[in-house]
Amino acid sequence: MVFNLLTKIYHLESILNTCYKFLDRAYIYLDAKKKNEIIVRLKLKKKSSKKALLNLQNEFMNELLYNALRYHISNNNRKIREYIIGRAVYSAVPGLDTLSAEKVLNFEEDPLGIAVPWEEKHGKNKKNSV
Amino acid sequence: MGKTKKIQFNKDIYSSSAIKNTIAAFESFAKFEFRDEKKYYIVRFSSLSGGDGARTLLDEICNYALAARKKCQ
Repeated sequence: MVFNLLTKIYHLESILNTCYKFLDRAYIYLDAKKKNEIIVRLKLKKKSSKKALLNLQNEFMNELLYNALRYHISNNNRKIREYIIGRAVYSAVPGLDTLSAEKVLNFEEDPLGIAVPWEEKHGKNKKNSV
Repeated sequence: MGKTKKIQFNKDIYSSSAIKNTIAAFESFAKFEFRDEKKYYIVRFSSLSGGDGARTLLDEICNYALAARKKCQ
């Protein structure tokens, strides 16, 4: 069975994905004689009736529609997907946000001596004055 | 050796690496000749076993090339 598909409607990527799904059941050959047109040749692996072949073509067309939709959704969401992955990867890398935050929040270091009691700091002076 | 068969793989659809991978995969079944022409990659092959298997081999090569095309993306 041979039929043509317009690449203006179905992108080549969605046609290839659809073909890939049918490789176990059919022999598929693709060609392109004209621009924006893909010729699909479908042949069932097992010997079967014309009706079975027609059913396969109908199934192929349905799957193609599904893959075309997936392709469009994937294209529309590309930017937001990249942003989400970018954020996830960025936050997973140690030494960027996490390390600096830990350094700032480490209360045990106390470089300004805030945690030192007043008596320890000024005890000597107090004794001297009394 | 069987009769020589020819397959034309359109360059807009199939990649050369996919075709080369396909030829490598089927090398034990047939003798291949690969040519790069203007719009097509031309693959000629003659089945080593002969008989009626050549047609099936051709179909299998087409399928493999399609799968390889997807892998080589």
